[in-house]
Amino acid sequence: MFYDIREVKVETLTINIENGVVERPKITCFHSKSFRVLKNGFWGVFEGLVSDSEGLNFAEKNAISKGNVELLEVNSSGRYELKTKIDPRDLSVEEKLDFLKEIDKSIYTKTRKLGYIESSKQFEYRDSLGNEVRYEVPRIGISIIAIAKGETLQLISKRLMKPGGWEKIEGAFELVGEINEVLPKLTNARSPPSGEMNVLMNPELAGVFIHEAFGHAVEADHVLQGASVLSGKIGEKIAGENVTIVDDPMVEEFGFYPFDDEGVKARKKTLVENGVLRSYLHSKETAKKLGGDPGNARSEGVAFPIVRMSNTYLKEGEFKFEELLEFCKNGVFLISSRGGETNPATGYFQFSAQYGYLVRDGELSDMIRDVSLSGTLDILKDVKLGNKIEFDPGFCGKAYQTVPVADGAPAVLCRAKVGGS
Amino acid sequence: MEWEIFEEKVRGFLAEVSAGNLRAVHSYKDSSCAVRVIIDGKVGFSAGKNVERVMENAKKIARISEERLHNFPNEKPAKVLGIYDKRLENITSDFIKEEYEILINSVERAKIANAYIIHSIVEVNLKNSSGADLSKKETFSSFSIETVYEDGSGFSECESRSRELEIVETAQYAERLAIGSSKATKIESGYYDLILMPNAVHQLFSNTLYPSLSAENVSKGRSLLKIGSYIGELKLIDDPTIEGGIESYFFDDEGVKARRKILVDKEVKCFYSDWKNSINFGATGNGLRAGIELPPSPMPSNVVVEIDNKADPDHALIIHNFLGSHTANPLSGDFSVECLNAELNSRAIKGAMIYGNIFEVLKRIEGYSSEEKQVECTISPAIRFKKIRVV
Repeated sequence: MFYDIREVKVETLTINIENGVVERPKITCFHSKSFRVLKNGFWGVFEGLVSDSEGLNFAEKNAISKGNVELLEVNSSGRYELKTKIDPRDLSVEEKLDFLKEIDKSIYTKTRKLGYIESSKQFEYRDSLGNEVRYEVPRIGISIIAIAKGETLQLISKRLMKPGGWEKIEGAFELVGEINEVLPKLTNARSPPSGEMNVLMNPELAGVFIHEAFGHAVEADHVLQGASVLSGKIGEKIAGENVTIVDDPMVEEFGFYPFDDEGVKARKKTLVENGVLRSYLHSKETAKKLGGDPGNARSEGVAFPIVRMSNTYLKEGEFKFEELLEFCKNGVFLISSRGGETNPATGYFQFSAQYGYLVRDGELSDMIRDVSLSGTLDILKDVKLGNKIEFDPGFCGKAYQTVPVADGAPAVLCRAKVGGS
Repeated sequence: MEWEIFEEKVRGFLAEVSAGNLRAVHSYKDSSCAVRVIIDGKVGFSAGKNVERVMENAKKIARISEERLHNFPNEKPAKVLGIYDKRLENITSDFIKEEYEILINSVERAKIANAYIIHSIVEVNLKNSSGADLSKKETFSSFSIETVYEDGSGFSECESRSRELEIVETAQYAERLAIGSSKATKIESGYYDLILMPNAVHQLFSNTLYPSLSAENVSKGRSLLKIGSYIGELKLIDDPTIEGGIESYFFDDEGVKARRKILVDKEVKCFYSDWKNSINFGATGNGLRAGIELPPSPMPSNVVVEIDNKADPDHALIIHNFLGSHTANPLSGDFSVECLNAELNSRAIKGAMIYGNIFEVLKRIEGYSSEEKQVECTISPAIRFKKIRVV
C-alpha cells in the first residue's frame, strides 16, 4: 500500500480599489491537509485537518474497490525557499496602499478596479517511500480593469503577477500606459470582420493560443482518457519546423513551483521540438502508464493533484514585428487576451482578444473590439514567429481546480477563423 | 464596533471515474469561518480556521478600508422546502459504488473519458451584532460526464438537492452528443435561426446578461441597464425560494431573508442586490459568497426564464454547449463563442462560431421549444432566436 500526505498553509492579503475607493480588503489564513492511499490499484482519499494516523485511516476506508492505478516510484526529497529582495510582510499595509493609490490615480477613467494580492504558500509532502518535501513560495500581483463608455461600454484589463516579493511589482505603473492610450479609442472601435483570415497575435494572445490550442492536449490524463487529439502521436510531426514548445516550472513566472503536488522535483520539459511531439505532461500515474517523466501534477489547495501546465512557452523565431505585418498583408492584428477554452478531445479551441487592429496592405489601420478566434491544432502547421518572447500570467481551470500559470510566446502570424459581424 | 461571524462546515463524498474506471473515492470534512467588522463605519473582512485570529485580522484590515456599511441585517428567514436531504447524512462510499455501476451500465457505445459524482452537506451558522443568530443545513449532489466516440465528444451535467441524481439520462445525453459530433460537418457562414438548449442558455446568459443586472455593477458604472430598459419578450425571475432549487436558500450569506423578485418583465424591473447596495436598490437577499474566503457580493440565485410563445423545435441550428462563453464582454454583452455540441436538421455541426450582442439577440426571441431545466443558477427551457450571425 502506498500513501502520501500533503499539508498546505496559505496566507493572503488582498486590497481592492474600486473607482478610487478601498473596498473589500481582506486577510485570509488557511491550513489544509490531504491523505491519499493507493490500495489494490484504487485511490482512497480524505481531505481534512486531522492527525496523520486518523487521516490515513479515513483515506484507506475509501479505497473500496480494485483498480488499475500504478505509480512510477520516484525518489524526490528536498527543501526550497524562494528568496525575496523585499518581503512584502516587512512593509506596512499603509505603505502598500500609498503605492497602489498612486497607480490607481494615474488611470484616466473614473470606472476602474485595481486589485493587489500577496500570498505565501507553505507546502509539505511526505509519503510511504520516505520522500519528504518542504517549500515556501510567495506570490505577488497587481491587476487593473478599466472601463469607459463611448459608442459601446468597453473594458481593458492588465495584470502583473509573479512569484517573489515587492520588487516584482515595482514596474506596475507601466500597466497604466497602454490602458490610458487604448481605452478611449476602444469605446468607439468597430466590430471585427469575420471568416478565415491572416491573424497576427501579439505575444500575450499567442501565449494563450499555445496554452489552449496545444497545452491541454498534451496533458497525459486526457491522453489516457482517450480525450486528446494528440493521443499516440509522440514522435510525429504535429507542427511546423519552426515550432518548439516548452513547459518549465522553474522559470520565475506565475506558474512557478519547485516541487509538484506529488513531491516530484520540478524540471523543464520540451514538449515539441522543431514541430515533432516529444513528450506529454505527466503525473506519477500517467508516467507509469505511458512512459515519461512525472513532475506536472498540481492541485488547487489540497485537492487531488492532476496533470497541469506551469510556465508554457513557444520559443521565439526570426522575424521582426514589421516583417510579420508585411507577411500578414491583409488581416487582423489581435492584442491581449480575455481568456479562452479548449476541448482537447476534438482539438477545437476558442479564445478572445481584448482589442485589435485591421491590417491593410501591411499596415495597422482601424481599431476593432470584441474579437474571438477559433480553430484546431492544425494552425500550428503553418506559423511565422516573431523574435522576442514575452510571458503573461493567468489562472487555468480544469476539473474544478484553478492553478496559477504563465504563457509565453513571441508574436505569431497564422491563418485562423475570426468571429465578427 | 459591529461584527458578523459566518461559520461553515462542509462534508461529503466525491467519486472520480477516468477512462471508464472508478479510479478514486474521496471524502472530506472541513470547517472554516469568515468575519466582517464595521469600525467607524468602515468594513474589514477576514477568513480562516480560528475565529479569534480571524476576528483580529478583520479588525486590522478595517484600518485601511473605505468601504462603508452602517450595520448588519437581522431578518427572519424564509421557509424553503427541498434543500436538505437527511439521507445524505448516512451516505457511505458503497452508495457511490452503486451509482458508478448505474453509470457504466448507462453508456453503451461511447467511452466515458471522465465523470464526477459529488454529494455534500453544508452547515452554516451566522451571527451578527444586530442580533441575527441563524443556522441552516443544505445538501447538494452533482454529476458531470465527458464522453468520447471516435473523434467526437459530449459533455453533460446535472445537479440536485437530494440524494437522487439523473445519472442515466445525463450520461445517455452526453453519449448521444459524442456519437453525433463524431460525424460533424461544417456549415456555411450566414444568418441562422438558433435554438439554445438550457445548458447553452445558462452559459450565454450568465456571462453576458446577469452581470448587467447586478446592483453593484449598475452603481459602479459597469452596466448599461436602467430600470425600464427594454430587454425583450421574456421574463426573468430571481427566486431563491423555489422548492428544491439548486440555488435556493432560507437566507442569503449576510442573513437577509430569501425573496422572489422579478428582474425583467420585458423591461428591467429591479436589480439583484447585497446588503450594502440595498440602501439604493432595496434588499433583495442576493448577498452571496463565492467561497468562504470571499466577502459577500450581489449574485443571482435561481433565475427563472419565462417565455410565453411556443416555437418550432426543429429547422434551426440547435446548440447544446458553448466553448469559451466566459470570454464574452460582460459589460457590453458582445460575444463571439464556439459551438461545442450543435446540430442542424439532425446533422451534427462543428467549427461554428456564434457572434452577437446579448441585448440585440434577446430582441429576436421567437419562443420556447422544450421543457424547462435547471443548469446551475438558470432555470430555462430551450429558446429559439431568429436570424443570428453564424461564422
